[in-house]
Amino acid sequence: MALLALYLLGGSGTFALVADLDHAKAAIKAQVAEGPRREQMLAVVEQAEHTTKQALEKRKKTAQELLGLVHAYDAAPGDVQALLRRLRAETSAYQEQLVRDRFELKAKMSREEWTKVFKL
Amino acid sequence: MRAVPLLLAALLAACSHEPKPTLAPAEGALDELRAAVVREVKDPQRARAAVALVDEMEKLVAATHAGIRAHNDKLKALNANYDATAEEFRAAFRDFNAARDRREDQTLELNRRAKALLTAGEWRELAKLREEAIRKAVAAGSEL
Repeated sequence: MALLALYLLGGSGTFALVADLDHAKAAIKAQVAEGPRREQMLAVVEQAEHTTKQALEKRKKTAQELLGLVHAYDAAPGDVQALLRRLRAETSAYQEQLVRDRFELKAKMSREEWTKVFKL
Repeated sequence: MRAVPLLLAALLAACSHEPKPTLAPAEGALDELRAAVVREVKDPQRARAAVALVDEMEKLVAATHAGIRAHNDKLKALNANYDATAEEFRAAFRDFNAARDRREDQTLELNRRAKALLTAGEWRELAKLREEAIRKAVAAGSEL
């Protein structure tokens, strides 16, 4: 079940954003001169990492409960739906927080810095 | 049947880390699943119906992986765009969530039909290989 739960952690549709933020720390250090601005940027990236960690822990717990019910032959459909609604609500809250974190970081960076750090 | 939890895992796993072009690595697991269904479900008519559910599951998994890949590409492009707005991100997530909700609902419906088709004993027997099948199917196209 632990292995299964690990597979479920990414079910929020945030992977591309999390992957970008994951590499942003090193990229910011490489592209932005040392100083208070850089420290502020790195603090926002760490905040986004914290957002993700918290969300994944919560999601793992809910997803384990959900899968337990789906596996159970005699699970009540209402119980499954209730857990699914909770999982979806948790996911939406996490997505929104990640969007806020992304725009908080953007507010601290120039267009040129952003382009260098998050080039396609 | 173990097919449906397998599908649910794939549907819930929305990250396409290193997406592969097909579900090829999962094909073996799906074939094993079909064989297990035929072996465990002695009534031929119910066995055929159960195998058909596996086929439906396979299509749903493939569609899910394609949808996840498209969403990830869209999100990456949005993030790279300095001028992208928060509303554009929210719209992308709304689209993703709507598609995910539809697929999860389809999955639960498959789950309901599978339970209605199988006895509790058949369900338990098929569940014995569930974890392995899940691992293979998820690894085929959706990774953390």
